[in-house]
Amino acid sequence: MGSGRERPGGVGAVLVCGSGGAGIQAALDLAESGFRVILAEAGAAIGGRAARSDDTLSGGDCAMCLLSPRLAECARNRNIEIFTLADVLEVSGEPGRFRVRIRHNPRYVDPGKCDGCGNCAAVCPVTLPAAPGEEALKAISRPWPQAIPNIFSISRVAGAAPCRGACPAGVNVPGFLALLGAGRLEAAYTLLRDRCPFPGTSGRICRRPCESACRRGARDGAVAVGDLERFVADAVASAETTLLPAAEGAAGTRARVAVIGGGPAGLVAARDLALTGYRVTLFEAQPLLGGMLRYGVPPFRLPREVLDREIGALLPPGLELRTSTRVDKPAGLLSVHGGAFGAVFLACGAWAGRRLGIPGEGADGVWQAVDYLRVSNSGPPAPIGPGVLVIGESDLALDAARTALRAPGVRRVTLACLHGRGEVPVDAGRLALAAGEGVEVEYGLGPTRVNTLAGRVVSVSFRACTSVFDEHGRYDPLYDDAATRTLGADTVILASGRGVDAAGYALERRPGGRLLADPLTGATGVPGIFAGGDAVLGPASLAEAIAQGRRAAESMDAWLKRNAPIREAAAMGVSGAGPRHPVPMAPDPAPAGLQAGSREVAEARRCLNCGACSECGLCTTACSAGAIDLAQAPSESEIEVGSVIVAPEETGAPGWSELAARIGLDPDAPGVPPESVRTRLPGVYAAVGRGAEIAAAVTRGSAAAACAMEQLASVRGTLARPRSYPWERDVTDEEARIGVFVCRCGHQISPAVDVAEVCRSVAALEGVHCVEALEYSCSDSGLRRMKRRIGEHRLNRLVVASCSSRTYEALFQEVLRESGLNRYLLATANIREECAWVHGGDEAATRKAVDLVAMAAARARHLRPLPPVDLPVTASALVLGGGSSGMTAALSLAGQGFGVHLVERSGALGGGGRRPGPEEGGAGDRADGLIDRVTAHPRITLHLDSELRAVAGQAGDFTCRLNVSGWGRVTLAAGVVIVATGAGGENEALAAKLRVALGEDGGFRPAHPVLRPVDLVNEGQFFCTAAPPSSIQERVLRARAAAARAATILSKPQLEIAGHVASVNPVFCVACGTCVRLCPYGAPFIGEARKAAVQEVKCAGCGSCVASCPRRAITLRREESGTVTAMLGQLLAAGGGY
Amino acid sequence: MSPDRSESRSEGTRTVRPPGWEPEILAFCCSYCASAAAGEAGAVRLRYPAGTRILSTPCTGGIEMEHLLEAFEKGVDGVLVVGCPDGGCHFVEGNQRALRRLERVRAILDEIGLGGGRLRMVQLSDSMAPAFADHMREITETIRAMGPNPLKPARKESAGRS
Amino acid sequence: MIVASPKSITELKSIIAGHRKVLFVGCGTCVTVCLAGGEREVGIMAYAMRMARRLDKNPVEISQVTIERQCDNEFLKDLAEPASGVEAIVSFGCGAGVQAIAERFPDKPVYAGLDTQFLGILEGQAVWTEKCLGCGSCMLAEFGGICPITRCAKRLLNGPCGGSLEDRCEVDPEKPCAWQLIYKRLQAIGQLDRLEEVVPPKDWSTAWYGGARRVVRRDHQV
Repeated sequence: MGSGRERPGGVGAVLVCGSGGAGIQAALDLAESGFRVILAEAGAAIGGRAARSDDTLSGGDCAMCLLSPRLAECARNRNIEIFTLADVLEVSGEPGRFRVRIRHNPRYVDPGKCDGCGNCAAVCPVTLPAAPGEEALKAISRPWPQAIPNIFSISRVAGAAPCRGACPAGVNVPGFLALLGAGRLEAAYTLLRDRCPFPGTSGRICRRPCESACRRGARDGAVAVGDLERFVADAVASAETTLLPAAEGAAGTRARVAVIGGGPAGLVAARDLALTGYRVTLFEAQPLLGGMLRYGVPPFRLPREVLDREIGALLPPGLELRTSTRVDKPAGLLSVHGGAFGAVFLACGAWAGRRLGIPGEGADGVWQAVDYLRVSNSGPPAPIGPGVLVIGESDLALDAARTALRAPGVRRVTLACLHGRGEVPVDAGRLALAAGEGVEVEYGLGPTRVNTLAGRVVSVSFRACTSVFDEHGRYDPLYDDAATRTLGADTVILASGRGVDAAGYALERRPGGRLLADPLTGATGVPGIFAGGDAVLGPASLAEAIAQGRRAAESMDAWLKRNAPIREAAAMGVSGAGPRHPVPMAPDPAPAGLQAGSREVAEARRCLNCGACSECGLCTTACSAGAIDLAQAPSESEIEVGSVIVAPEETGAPGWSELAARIGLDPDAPGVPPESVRTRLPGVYAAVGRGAEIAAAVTRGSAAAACAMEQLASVRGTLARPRSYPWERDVTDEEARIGVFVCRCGHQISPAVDVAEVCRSVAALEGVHCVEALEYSCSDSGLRRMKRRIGEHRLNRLVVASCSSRTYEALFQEVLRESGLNRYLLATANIREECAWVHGGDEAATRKAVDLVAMAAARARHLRPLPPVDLPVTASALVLGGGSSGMTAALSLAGQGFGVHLVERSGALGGGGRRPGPEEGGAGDRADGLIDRVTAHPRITLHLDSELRAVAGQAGDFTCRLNVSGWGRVTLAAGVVIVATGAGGENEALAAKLRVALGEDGGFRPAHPVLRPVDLVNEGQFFCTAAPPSSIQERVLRARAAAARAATILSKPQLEIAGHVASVNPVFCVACGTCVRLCPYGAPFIGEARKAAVQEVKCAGCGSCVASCPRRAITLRREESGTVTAMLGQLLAAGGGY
Repeated sequence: MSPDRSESRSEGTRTVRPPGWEPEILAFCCSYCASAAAGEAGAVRLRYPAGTRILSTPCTGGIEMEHLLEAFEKGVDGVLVVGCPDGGCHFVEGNQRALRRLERVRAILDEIGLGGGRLRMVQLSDSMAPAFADHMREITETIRAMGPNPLKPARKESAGRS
Repeated sequence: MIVASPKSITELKSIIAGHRKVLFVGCGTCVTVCLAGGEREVGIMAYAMRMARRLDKNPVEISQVTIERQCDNEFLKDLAEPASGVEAIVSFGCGAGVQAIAERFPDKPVYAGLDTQFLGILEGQAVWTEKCLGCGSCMLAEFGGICPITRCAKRLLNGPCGGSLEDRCEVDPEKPCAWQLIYKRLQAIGQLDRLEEVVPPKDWSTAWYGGARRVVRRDHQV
């Protein structure tokens, strides 16, 4: 089993994985007893889920209140190193010398720069769904306000948002929705326009692959991205000021490039090239720009003013436009062939309607849809007959049909589809729209011939199409020749595909006429000629065209730089290739006329934030420290430790099973036996919590720490860093300079107490030089702020008005000490338990808080520094009770190198555990094995037939008197006392001797039910007796935990004791002996000078002698006499108070 | 103007209750049982009157008689001393001392005519939060019936503080 | 030491009734030790007086000072300044101290704040018992160190009265019979034979009858 076996050498450090209650406790116990601790936490801050919860636990404190000072202690402890966002990847090596590989996950925020100001979270538009019981956080967030470390981090699942990946143009859809959902219209527009220059257009006609991919679609309908896009574009356009940023030209370069085709691909390419600095000439065969957008899409789908506006906003000045100019030979434009341009982008589109190949196709009255639309969208509507038959099942066909419906003289429009009803491969909504407008739709018809009369169309014959695709999904229509129909028509419009008319281009082509271009760069076979858009892809979407245009500009730029002759390169000057030009951010808030309505915002908020952070960029702009760094990547490090403690909050905690698997433990029951902290791996211990039961977790944490301490006993202290404080300033001659810190305690003190009012009132008090309100005085940031103010104002007294001082007094004392002041110059006021929590809602609560703080300030004025008294620690323990608990505790401590006096009232060891029951297993934990080991251990002194008669002294220095039956009395010295008796009647007597109270159930009461479950209220006294009968494993756990707690005292050579002792002024003392007779501790005595004097180590500081001395010659060192009078005076001064 | 006037020979004073007067109670609490009970009372959100002020001291046995007298001289309406139960004093027997001293101060208060009923000592353990709140309420009501401390100086409302 | 006990508040109040500005003087020796007139006790009385007089709508201003011993001029001189400006002085010393102050400040009324009780010892915390009457001619050697003049209710010099019951005095059963104690003591020290000697009637001329006594020690006067 390897427990207690000392290895030569070994590393005096321990890795603790997990920072819930168990992990924190283990870390603190180890650090306080001489070991270095590496505390690795997978989350962004230490504390685990328990610390995040606002729930009220037993004792009335919320989890936050209980754990926060513990977390602060971890952060401040010089022996604890904290790694957050850290995953333990591998543990190798052997007990005493493990090598651990740790992955540090990126938080996308530079910890060295982030100062926790929170500006980023304030502007972040993405709120992530919260786990039950927790607060919802933004995508950039701090887990809670006083998280340690107090740095923000971004939740980001790169690539997880399917919408963004589905958009060919790469629009940041999540970012757009997030900004719109936050009401930030201009920011949304700007982000959108960065990737899609025609938002109003695409909002109307885009096929919306993002919506098809949207995860919400499977639940209750995809987020209406397209409609929102259109809304935003229209809203921005409707603003009175010109918010549409006019693209600016870039200065400097002289190289000329040509773009052929003024459709979307060509426009985007032309713009990007111009912004990069090229002189661009845009050729367009038609009179106006727009390509398919103008000449294909009818105006009732895309209003011309929208298109014109967007094209106008797109093109920078200085771009040469050659409309109504057809280029037949693109190669001729190249400078190498005598032309004027360094490179050419060919985006002429697909304007050749595909022929059906049926007889009569060329007759009068038969149109290709592209031609029909081009004509109708250019000028007056094309003349078509009263009966129109559109053959096809594409958007083009629908556009043609709906255009025909609006043409003068048309009475009937029929659409003949190949597919059956419900299978037509066009957006069902659009089809329904067309049908709703009056288009008659016929299904399952394959055209066979166009029937003419005198050269004009009169009808078209069809046969039934029974299937379109074969079983492999290949296009292979099957017809039933027997089922024929004839549909009459005066005009036939064919819409069965578009090809590219590029016969004269002398470029390689694919079937259908599409140009062949490199899929990555867009380069054609002719150097310098690039192609993209429909001309390469065939009929494609607007988004694809945009992507193609952008890609072409980048490729051409890269190509031109590489190939440009040196002369031109020099003249080019600064190249713009590289990061794209930032689009100027439109100002926020929106000017008049521009509103994102609740409907739009609500729709945008439906976005599930699949990738968490939407990369909208607002935080980067808002961060004044420049701390956002989305380029952070995971890194790895390796550390060496002597043992490892895994401390998941519960077996179901996220990440635990993976970690367990990586290390080699069973995630459901890592302990061997199941409830133990030992695992099957020597040197690895498991302190698995039980969710919200923090007390159980804390006990386990201590128990695991004890095991590590036993294992590494020989190297205790080898890596520990001693505390070092600055020199203590002597303030005895200084007048009191008090700093008052009033804690809001989140929502616990304020708003019941008006903290601002308290601060105002207290500022005027005598001696107060600084008053400040703190969000959480016990948090790391609160403590830092106190230190800062102490330095700034040269304060020499501290008043903290917060919650009960019991738990946090030590923290505030540390602040004083670290600031070079005596740690006892502290006065506290409890304005939470004694005020806010009991008078909430009562106006008088604030007045009372003012009084309590004023009294504390009065007390502070009279405080005196106390010189610390170092008490040498007796490095041995007194364990009362020789059952399995006592024996376990004794063995643990002895195994760590401390002496143990094990006291048992009966004549034999074993207690109630003598007959091990069936529930335990594991050699070494059974009572029999324990007895042998205890008896044999050289450092354990057995006292059988012995009972504790009296115990005096304090932590580190107890004097214990035992009665040995039949023999006499024994006096021992011990540094700690551990009570390990069973539940029984003798507890009352024992409690009285220890001066502790028993609980209502007759069992010992812990110093704190959750945080210190094995500590008694007196320092240096611990207990492992569990009140209800418990399993032997439970007893062993508690015994180990008590041993670990005891080790934090025994491992120290000395303790600094409080020094709250009484002191006699010999001038006034008349040696009446009253104090000597009164003191229950026997501290005062009449000394050689014939005056009374107080033995400091015995004095408990109760003040009884002070109150009894008839000459008022005794004071408690800590306060000048007259302190209470001063406090009363403060409270009851005429004209104030109450 | 005052709604209630009562004469009490044993107290030797006429009680006059000014409108809006709330009993002002000062509670000396030992920093073990009493403060813990007060803390527990806060934790479970028990309610008691806001006219109470707590002054914490390590042990009730350390309370000087002059402090109690001074509190009354300066105008406190009632004083409650809260200490540990018999046998439970963290400093062994401080509570016993406090009991005896309080007897004397009460006798003085009776003799001078202020009324010993204004001073009470109660003993409770740290888990007795409801008792703590009860005592605070009870003494407030007792003092309310007795009326304000006739030695109270005239106080201006909201002078300098809240 | 001299054992005294505080006067009641009611009595003290009536003593100073006519004055508005009073000095309370404590003593730092015997009365401090017997917890009657030391600084703390004087303070308590001062509080009580001030409050009582305010309740009577007749405030009194009380100043306080405690000196080491009131029976010694050396310390009385420190009272000069505090005493100026007050109408009256209340001494919380033993009767000797009160009178010493009165002699020192003959133009001011000086009152006693304590009832001086006896010469006695501390029997236990805050319990004192009388041991000595100050008769001026001590015969303790005859009685094994137990004074029957003080401790026998009948002041018998030659044996018990015979009325004691279970070692208790017939006159006051709360008290032990002094002669019982004497007998036991003489027996313990082996001097029982003293009981057979007849003690003549006491010469009371050395006691306080006839006025205040005086002791002079010429060998220490220079």
